[in-house]
Amino acid sequence: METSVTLANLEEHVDKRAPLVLGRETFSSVTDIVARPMEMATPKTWWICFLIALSGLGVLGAAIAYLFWEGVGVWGLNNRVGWAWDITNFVFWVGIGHAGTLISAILFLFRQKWRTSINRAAEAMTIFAVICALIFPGIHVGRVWVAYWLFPIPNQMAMWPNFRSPLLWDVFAVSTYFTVSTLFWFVGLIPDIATFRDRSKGIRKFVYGLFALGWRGSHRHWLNYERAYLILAALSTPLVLSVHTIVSFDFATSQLPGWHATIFPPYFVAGAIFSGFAMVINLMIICRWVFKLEHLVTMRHFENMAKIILLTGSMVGYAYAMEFFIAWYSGNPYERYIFISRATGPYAWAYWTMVTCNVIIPQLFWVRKIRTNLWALFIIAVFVNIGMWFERFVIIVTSLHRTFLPSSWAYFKPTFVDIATFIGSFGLFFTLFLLFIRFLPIVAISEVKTVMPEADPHGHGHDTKGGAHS
Amino acid sequence: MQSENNQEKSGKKYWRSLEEMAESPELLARMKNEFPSGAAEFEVTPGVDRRSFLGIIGASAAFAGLTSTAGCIRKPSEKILPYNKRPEELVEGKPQFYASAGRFGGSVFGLLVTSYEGRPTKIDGNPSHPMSLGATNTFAQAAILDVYDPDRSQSVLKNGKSVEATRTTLKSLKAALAAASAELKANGTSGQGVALLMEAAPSPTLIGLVRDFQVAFPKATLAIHDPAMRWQETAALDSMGFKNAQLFYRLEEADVLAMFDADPLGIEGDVVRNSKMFAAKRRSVDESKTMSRLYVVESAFTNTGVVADHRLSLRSSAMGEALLALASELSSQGLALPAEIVARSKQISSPNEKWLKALATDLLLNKGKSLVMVGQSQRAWIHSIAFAINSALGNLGQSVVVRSSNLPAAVSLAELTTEMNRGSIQALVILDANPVYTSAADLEFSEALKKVKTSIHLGYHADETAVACSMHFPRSHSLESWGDLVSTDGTASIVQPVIEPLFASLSDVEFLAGLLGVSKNSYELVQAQWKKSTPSDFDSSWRRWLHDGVVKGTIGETLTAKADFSKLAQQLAGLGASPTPTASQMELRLTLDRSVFDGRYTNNAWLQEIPDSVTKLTWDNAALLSPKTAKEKGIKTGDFVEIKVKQDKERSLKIAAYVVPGIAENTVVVSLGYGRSFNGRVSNGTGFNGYSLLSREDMFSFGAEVQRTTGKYELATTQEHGVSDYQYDTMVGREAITTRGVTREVTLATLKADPTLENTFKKFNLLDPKMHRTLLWTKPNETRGNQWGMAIDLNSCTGCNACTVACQAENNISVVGKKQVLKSREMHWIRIDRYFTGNVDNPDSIQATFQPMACAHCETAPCEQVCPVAATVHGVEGTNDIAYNRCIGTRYCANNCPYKVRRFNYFNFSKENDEANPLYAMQKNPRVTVRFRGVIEKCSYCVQRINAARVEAKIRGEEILREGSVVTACQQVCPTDAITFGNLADDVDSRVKQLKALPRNYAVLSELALEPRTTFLAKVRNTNPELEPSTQL
Repeated sequence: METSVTLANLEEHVDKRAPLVLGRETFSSVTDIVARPMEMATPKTWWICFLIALSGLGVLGAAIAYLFWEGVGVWGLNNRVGWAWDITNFVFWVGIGHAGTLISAILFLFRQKWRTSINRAAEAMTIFAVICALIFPGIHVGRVWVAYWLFPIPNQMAMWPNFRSPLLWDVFAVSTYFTVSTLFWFVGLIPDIATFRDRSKGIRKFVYGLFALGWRGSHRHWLNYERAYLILAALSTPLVLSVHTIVSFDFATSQLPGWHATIFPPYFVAGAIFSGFAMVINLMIICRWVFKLEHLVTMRHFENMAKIILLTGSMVGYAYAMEFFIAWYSGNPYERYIFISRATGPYAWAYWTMVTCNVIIPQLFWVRKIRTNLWALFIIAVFVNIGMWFERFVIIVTSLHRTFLPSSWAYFKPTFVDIATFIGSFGLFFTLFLLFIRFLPIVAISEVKTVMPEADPHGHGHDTKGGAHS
Repeated sequence: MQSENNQEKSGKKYWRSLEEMAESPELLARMKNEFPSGAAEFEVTPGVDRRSFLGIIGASAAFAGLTSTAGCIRKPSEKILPYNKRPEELVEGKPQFYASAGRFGGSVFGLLVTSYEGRPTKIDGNPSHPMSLGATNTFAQAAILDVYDPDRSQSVLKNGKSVEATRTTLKSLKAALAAASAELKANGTSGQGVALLMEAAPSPTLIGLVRDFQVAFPKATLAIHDPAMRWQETAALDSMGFKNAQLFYRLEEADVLAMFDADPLGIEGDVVRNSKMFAAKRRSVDESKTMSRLYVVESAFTNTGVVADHRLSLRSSAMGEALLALASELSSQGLALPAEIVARSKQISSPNEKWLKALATDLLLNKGKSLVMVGQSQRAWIHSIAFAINSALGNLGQSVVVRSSNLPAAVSLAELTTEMNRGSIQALVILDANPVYTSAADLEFSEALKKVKTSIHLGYHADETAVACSMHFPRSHSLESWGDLVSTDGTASIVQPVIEPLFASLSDVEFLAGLLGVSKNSYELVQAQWKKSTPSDFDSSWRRWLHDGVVKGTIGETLTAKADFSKLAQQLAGLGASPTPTASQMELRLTLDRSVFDGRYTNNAWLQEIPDSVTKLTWDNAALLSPKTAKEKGIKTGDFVEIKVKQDKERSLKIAAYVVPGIAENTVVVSLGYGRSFNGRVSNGTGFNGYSLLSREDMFSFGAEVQRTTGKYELATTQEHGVSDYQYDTMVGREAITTRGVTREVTLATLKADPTLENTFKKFNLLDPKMHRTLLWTKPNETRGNQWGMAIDLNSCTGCNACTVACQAENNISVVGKKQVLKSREMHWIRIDRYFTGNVDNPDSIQATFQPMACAHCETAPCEQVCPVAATVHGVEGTNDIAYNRCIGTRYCANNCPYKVRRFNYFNFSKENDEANPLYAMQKNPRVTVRFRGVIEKCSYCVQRINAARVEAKIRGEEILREGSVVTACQQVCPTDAITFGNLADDVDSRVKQLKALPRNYAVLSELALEPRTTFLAKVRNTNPELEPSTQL
């Protein structure tokens, strides 16, 4: 029965759009469904998950403390491979942080209404992923206590940062993205927070009330709100493309074979959307199952996301192939060598892991049965995330370990601190995410309601032509 | 057995880990000390003058931070004392230079020692000394660190144990010496049963005292034990009628050189002079299109073998036969050789006939301008044949000269040991030798030593011999005491001290004089010696000698008697063909080590971390095998192997294997000097003791069994990190040369056919030169002010590593230790890249080439563009500068550097160095910032020297720094003058400008449009057209 309901909105009918919310949900039942995880007594499983995540965060703290105490040498880096897991993790997390804003801003502008039930969680994921990402450039520097020199703060040395450096562009790009994403998320949250202000009591009511900014749901509020939301969506849209473009400049503007490539900006953006959607699938499958959101987060959502993964995965695959073509076509022996080395050298295992996870496995999404099977979706999305981590590792490490002069070739081996920091960053991410699902609505209630038939004044089958009440 | 623990020990004991340091009671004690810790390190003995005392205090401020030790203390509290009355001629912060001399690795060098406020910090070659000519070798460079070796002997030992609770004072030292003297004299005045064992130190004062010793003890035995002692050569000369003589080589006279197991550019003999002279002969290619041709026959790559035009890989035991085959060729081509040799050589057939034939023809074409040299480990008869060939070719008196030696007649260690075993030696005096460690295994010297009642040892370390003797005295460093030395060409120099002994200790002459009951200090003893030969106006002569560093006139004479080959016939008669080694019966070749020599430098951190010229190994030696032999035996790099040799009994050594091209087939090469049992904080746990396989007869032996055993050992190299497959690596090396044009070499024939090299180098132009290129950043103006540039001549470089150590000494570069080298974190600012070419399975086809690489100071530097905080920026004089204080350590610059020359301080290496070796801080150059954890560092073109020269020029009212006013440390030390640095904006044509205008000049990775200020001059191999070049380039 369940299957038939979930599959029910997979088909578009000629005369009628497939419903985005299934079941016989009403406005109030939608609110109840979303409010349930926040209003129920804290379940034991949440506590267990939270403690595990918190331990992960502790691991991150300890790893960073050890790093600060001893120096960057506790990682496996060397004089040839100056970046490895640190920047890999940074790009990995920034990439994940792409899906949220893409879903909320770009899909919003394109009137993709199916976004409404997943955009909130995706945006939260974005913000938390960007927080995880921001840690790495901060801690990877040799002298963390002067890392603030990266910012253009007026100082007695009359010394400005070097505006020619892509690292500085990163600072601006990522911090702007983080600020705008957070604002966008918060603005979208206001009506829902007001709902919870009205539903809760005591200190909770006060806190929600504080963040609800006096929302009363008046017509004028809605008018301003929607205008603000639209403006922020328009502001965020270029950021989605610019952040990863600028992150890719770290590599593209340098002159190492394997880094110095004009294909990087679109390739990085495609990769980011690819990994971001994979992460959204992973998180939403769990949330949907745990919080029984089947009627709101439908199989149609997953199928749409799977299609995006299929598309961006193929784009990434095309980029991989094009890198090889350009290396050959350029006639540059260094460029040629680095790509041969990637596929056959000491890190070939990493390269082929990447290709398998990113190019081959997502091709399974051509089959609808796989696209609509939650288990398959979940597993493939995990592979995509693994693959995308390896993509960044391959770009960074394999390019650095075989540079121009054969005398300076080396091999990078991670230390336990590298591994602990990476695992710890997941701890941070899940700690934040678990707090989010406990204290904030994981589905944008007000937005979901707008895509329900009840929201349509011409709904209930009275007037399918879209005319006014007559 | 010892070896398994090695890894842990060598990493931990010396290196890093705050954990470990925190547990060390020494550190805890220091931390509690309220005074700057360095000050507590020294007991200031009454002899210490104020100057050096202040030097010590000043240095101790550097580790004052220890009192509150922590990760991130940036501004330690420091206590300094000003000069109350400033010594005359002293300007604080300005170095003073003293001429001195030293003997390092078998050659005497005239030295110029830099001293800051009484603290010597750097050793350089004395330009007016014929053996250094302004340059030095690695050993001399690193000797400054030995002065500050915290493990140097500091107390008198009796039967291996310290007799006093505190460190020995000068007073107690003198008392102990008097006691030793009495004990020696108790054996009676005849000298029966008394023996003196010394190194082959050519010091007139010491030799004078040895003669006094022989007068006091007429029947005493005198023995010499020294790795640089040319026993075989002397024996050969002796048999030919030259008593007490040695050969002096003049490579400047030779156009064709043939080396048989000899390494005159590496570690044998007067390497610096040889290198200078050899390089001059190579550089002539630019003016006259002529250069010398070097043929090398050797069993493993030496520095000489790498620069050879033709190299033949041959096991050491077959050198005699090869030389006989050459003699046969020569005589058949019409050279009149002694009949004894001709008769024997006719019986020899060599598999390398073609090669030797070409060589013979070449030698005959260059009569009087050629040279045949035989290695010091080869037997006397082989030396005699080489001598005969040289005489017949008319090279005698030209490229090779016989000179009398000033060393006294002495027996070898083997003969002394026989006497000791016989029980006829009751008292043995050992002067600065370490025979317990450095003697052949089958001598069993330490057993023999037990039979000697009184053994008195003077040594710099409380080493293996020191603890085995009944008495040990600490020796002063040669920079701490007066002395004198005579080089092989007869030039004498006075050894001038530049610092009071840091610890109560005796110099060689003080010790020997003390034993004879003469209580004089070294100054008086040396002066007394020289007064004998300088009757009039001694004082002004003395002052001139000290100032110049060279004594006028030479000691000893050139011998020109006719050689007598009659004894050679007997030697040759009993000779059989040397057996060919097989996989089961291999040849073992032991060599002196290019880093630690015979083991005396094992406690020197700079030398331990210097990558070997060929293997690039640091911190260890290994059993070197050719790829083919290793493959046949199933041995890979890092595997433990067991080497078994049959001597009087079977001896074995478990050692890590290292597979490297260029080793003769079925030969295993092990360098000596590692695996010491001496407890030094640097030497502990490094390498494997090759002496345990050494036989008294030869440095090589037949019939060694090499078997893979269990276990793996991590060998730290600075190249091929993580690359174990040599097939692959060699391919890559070839690629670097043939397609990438990173290191370029041409044959002389090519250079003659294409003098501009345009066609030859065309294939390296990845960019069409006609293509319009727009640079993103504007190039600096090259004509304004001073514009610095460097040219490195690959045709001269012998890969000796002297530049790397000199740079380390000049620029306060940290040592990082084996663990960090394993992680590719070595800090050297200038490194020597080594590439192999050829077919790995054919040792004769293997060639190698060296390329020194340091920051190239690109005009459009990729590092400068990417630094987010503008810590690395372009100087107005074209240098690429780093403001260490501004660096936050993103390492982006290092990633973007195509030459990979930027080094990151992954840990607080300099602080760890000072903690591990508390005295090392005294060596630091006060003009160079000591780098902190988390910053990048790299070659600065010795910017401190540029600035010092600028100050001088400003005083003179000049803006432009003229040729020679700035000499970088690497340029100064280079024994082949391969490195030239200078002002490109000098309107007078500076040398560097001239070199950069040569057709051989090229920029590495020129297609990146980096416009590097350091460019290279392509290597030229003068190949013999009759011999097919082993690789087509």
